[in-house]
Amino acid sequence: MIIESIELDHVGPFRQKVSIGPLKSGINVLAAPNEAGKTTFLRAAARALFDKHTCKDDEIWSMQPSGSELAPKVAVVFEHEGQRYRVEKRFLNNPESRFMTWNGGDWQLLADGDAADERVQKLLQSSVPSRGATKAAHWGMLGFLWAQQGEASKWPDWDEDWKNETGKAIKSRLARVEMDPVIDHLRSLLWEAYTELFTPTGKARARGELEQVEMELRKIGEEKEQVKQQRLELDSMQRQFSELGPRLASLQEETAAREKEANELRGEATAAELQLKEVEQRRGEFDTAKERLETVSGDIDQMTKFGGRLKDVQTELVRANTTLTDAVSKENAAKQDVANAQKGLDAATLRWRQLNEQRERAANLIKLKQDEKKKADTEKLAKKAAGYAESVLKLRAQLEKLPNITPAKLKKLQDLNASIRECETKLETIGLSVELKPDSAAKLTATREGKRESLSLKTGETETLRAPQSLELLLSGWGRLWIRAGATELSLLQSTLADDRETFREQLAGVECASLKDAETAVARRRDLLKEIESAEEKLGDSLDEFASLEELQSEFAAIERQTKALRETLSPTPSEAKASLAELESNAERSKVALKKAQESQSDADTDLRRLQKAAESFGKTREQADREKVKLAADVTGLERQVVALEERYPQGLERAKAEAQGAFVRAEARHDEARKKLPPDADKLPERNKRASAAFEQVRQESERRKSEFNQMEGALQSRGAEGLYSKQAILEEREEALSKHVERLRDRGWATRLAHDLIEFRKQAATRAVLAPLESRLSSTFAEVSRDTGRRVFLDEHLQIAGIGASRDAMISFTHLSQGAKEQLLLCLRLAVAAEVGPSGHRLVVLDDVLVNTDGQRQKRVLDLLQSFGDQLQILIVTCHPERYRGVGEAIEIRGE
Amino acid sequence: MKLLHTADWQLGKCFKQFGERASEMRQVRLETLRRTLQIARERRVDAFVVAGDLFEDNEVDDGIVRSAVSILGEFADVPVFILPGNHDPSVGPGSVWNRPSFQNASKNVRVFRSAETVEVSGGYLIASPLQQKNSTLDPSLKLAELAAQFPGEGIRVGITHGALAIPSKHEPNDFPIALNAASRAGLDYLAVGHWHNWLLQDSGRLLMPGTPEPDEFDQADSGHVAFVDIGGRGELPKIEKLRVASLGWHTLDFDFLDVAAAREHLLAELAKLGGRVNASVVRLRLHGSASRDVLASTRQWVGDLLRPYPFAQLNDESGLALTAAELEFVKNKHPILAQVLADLDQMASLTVGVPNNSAFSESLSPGDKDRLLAEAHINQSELKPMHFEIARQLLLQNLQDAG
Repeated sequence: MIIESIELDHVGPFRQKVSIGPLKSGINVLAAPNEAGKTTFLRAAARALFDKHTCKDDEIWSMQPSGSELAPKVAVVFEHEGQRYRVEKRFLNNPESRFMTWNGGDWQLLADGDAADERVQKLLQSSVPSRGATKAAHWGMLGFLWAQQGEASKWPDWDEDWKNETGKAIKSRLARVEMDPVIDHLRSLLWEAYTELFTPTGKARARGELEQVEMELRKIGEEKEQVKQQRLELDSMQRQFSELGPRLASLQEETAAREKEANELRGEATAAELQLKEVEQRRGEFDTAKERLETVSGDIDQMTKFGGRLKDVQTELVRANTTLTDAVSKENAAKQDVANAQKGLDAATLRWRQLNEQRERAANLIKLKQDEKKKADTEKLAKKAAGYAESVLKLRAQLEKLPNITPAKLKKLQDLNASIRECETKLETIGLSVELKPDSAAKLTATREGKRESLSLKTGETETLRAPQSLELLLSGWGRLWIRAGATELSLLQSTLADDRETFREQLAGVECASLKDAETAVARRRDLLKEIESAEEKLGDSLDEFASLEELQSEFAAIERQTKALRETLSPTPSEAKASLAELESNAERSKVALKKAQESQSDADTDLRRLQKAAESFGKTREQADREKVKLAADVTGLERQVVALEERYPQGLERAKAEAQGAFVRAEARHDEARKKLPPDADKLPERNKRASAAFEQVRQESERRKSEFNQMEGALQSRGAEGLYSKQAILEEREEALSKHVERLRDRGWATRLAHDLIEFRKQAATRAVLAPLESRLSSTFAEVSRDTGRRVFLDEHLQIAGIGASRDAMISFTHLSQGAKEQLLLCLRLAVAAEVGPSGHRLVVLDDVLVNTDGQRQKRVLDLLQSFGDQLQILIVTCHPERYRGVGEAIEIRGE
Repeated sequence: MKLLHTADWQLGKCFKQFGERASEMRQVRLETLRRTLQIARERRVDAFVVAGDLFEDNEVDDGIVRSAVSILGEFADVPVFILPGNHDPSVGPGSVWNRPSFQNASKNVRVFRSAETVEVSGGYLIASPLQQKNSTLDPSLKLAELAAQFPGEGIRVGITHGALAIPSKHEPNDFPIALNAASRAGLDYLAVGHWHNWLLQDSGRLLMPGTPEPDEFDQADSGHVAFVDIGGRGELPKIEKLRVASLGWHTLDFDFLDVAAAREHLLAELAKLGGRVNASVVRLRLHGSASRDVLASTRQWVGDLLRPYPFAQLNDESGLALTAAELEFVKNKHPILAQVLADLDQMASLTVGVPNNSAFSESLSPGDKDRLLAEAHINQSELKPMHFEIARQLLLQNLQDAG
């Protein structure tokens, strides 16, 4: 097949009908810049040749001109096996397909619609996918021979994912592998049998028989595991139950023993309890008698103590009265001394206060003097600064009034003016220049730029007239002479001049100047004013001294003035003070300071005396208070003691000694009764209640434990009877029987599957080995073709058993694998392989090789060699090269252009 | 005293090799039990003794237990004495003997849940049942203790369960019973159960009758019960071996060496079964090799022949055979197949150690073998010679289809 022409209408960037062609056998080069639509032509041709006209895949939609609803139309004329054909397809809207052949000087329709698609498909041995657009995999031979843009280093897989046998056929032809068809069929049968049950990776095929049986086996395994677990639990329960029986019996024995022990202890404890109660009662009586005896003895001792104490207190009371009288007298004398000392201190304090006021006034007068001086200085400074500030303001006002033009802008204006001048001069120069040299004096009228002037010419003298555009001369005695210029340059100059003038005017207007001179004056004046402003600001700065601004200075002055006024109003200086100099004021202040110091010392002395006397008076006061309190306390003690003695005597009407004798008798009797009761108690009587409690608790504990165990025993017995009857063994048996049958089935399937796989893989292994054996001639052919491009005859191209390029190198062991080669080498190698394939299949009609921008990574040197190589194939193939680098293919083959109507 | 001594009925037993037919096998045993009881009735025995393992397990399905008790109840005039064995020991409430069926069983049924003595027709049945699954103790020792308690002239029959202590023939924890256990205990007869083949010891006083229903192929002497007649104390028991098995287990062979003769032989063997298709467990082994057509036709014929037998098993170890000339022809016609067959031999030699006698120019290397097996996702350690033989058969059998 070779393509003769391709026509597009409403495709991609082409909204109008465009075409390429006629394409010839040999090399055809379609060179155009990027985005010119080269690849669009090739892709559209492929769609027309291989896709159904009804296809609405994204690939088809991408052909529609963007933003339109136009239906893409493609027509391809091609020749196949000596016959010319034309395919026309319209996609998307009202899709159409027509397939025609050239017959008798005209196109004759062979089929249309789906039939047309099928005819073309059959002719080109291509196929279509069940859905979507075709890919290279569906394009038959052209899938291998059509190197698409951006895929120069990709090579389709010969075997995998191909919808037809093209790849395999090419492979077979190239490698000349004559596989035994029976064995190949046998291999296919084995593979079919294997893949019914397994995936290629050896796993059970989803929803296949093996997977289903294995799933059922797993389920049975899980159920069996559950049953086993239940049986283990049952065994465990059984063991627990067998251990529980003896334990329960032992507990029941212990319960009986404990009960007997508890009953015996309870009787003993009850008897001991009654005896203990009697002991307690005798003990109470004994304690009461003892207490009575102790009370009477205590009261006798107390009575003796009260008598002695009363005499002592009465003596102390007399001594306290004497001490009190002496203390009152001393306190009164001390109080008189304190009053005198207070008067002395008040006089000294008054003197100090007066002198202090004098000293403060003297200091304030000095401050007032100083402030007034400072006020005068600040006022002077502020006035001076205000003057400078006013000058600056005036200068700035002048500056504001000047046109706003900078030297840079002026420079631009000057440059523009110079340009205008230059243009004008040029205009004058290159306009018209007419030299008149009359033989005799003559008069003439010249009209330039619409202005008329009369000229007198003298004999033999040359008069030169210049005019920009035209010059009209009225020569007396001769007539009208009109000279006109038409030079383009003149026109340009005039245009430039007009533009410059307009710009000049605009710029002048922009800076508010009437003329360039005004602008220049303004710039000069602005510069002078700026200098003056700078000078005035400098002086203002100096006059401000440490102040940042005039406002700050003025603010300071106002503050000083306010302070001075306030101080003066406060002090109200006397005339003599007002007249006094600062030195006099300072002398007065110093004197006041000395006098004040002396007054302060006197005041301190008086204060010390006063404190000392006050302390003495306080001490005498305290002595008097203490003596008073002592007297009162002793009087109260005497009264209290007298009352207690009376109370004790009233408590024992029979007399204290007799009462004591009665109490001693009662005590001896009670003690004897208590001892008698204690002797009757059994040994360890106090521990019996506790033992009784313990025995009862132990009995109760063991009884409860026994009941609990009994209950547990009964429950377990019930559970064992119930679970034992679940028939777990039988359930397990049924599961195992089923499992056994399924396991054998799985085993049979696996054994057969493995055997099938072994048989298949060994055939495949031997087939590949056979393929490898015949690779050498093809490798040699490819190696020599690639050597023409690389100029390196020392390297060989190696293929793998799938007839993919494995790599290049001196030997297979030392080769660089294809994936590690440079992009340039990859695209050159694949180009060589494509040419080899094309040369092989060309005689059967597949002569078209499409190279869409394939040598993008190839250097210039190799590019030339590739061209040589292509030229060598040109006589047997149609090679369609699409490129955006026309310089690389100049002089090669036929140049093709995209033509519009 | 007349006894029908049985043991090891193993009711509810699992028969893995029979898959879905296993339940029928279990059912057959119940029928055998019924038939044996009928014999006991007819012979008017004083005791129908089950010397252990009436059931395969304490946790057999209750349906089986109910059926068994029901059958025993059908023979109310036959006193049945059951001894728990190691498969169905009397372990308490979870044991099969505590099921409601046995709690409410007919009065003629008595289970020895513990060691005890029962008076029967002036004699004594002295039982030492098993109460656990394993023990190194001889359960017959208990019989001696019990027997000593009954002085006088009454016949003493012991019943227990365990392995006979024959050196190297029993496990130490399998209740080893002394070979002179009967005479040692002063018993007139000791009814024992455990092993599945008939075995008489201790000068004819100790008998292990074996299972009444065989449960595997090649069981030498099973399928019987013992009718025991003891005339008096000290007299030697008269023992009659009665065949009661319902199913006959038969292994038949078919060799392709002489197909016609093999067919004839097979037909004759099956004829011997007398048309008892439902009472025969048949295992047919196909050996040898034959041509594709002969193989196919024979397999078809055998399949048809065995179809009526519900418990038939076919072990097909036959394969496709070509004559040397045929094989040579095939190899010459398809050199790549010849190579592959040689590769199979080589791979079998490298993986499972089958001697490789084939010589071929391009031998499969160990590296190639490893790579091929890895790519096929086949675990080398799981390969067997059979896999290579199947592969070879597949290649040869499919060759004709491929052609």
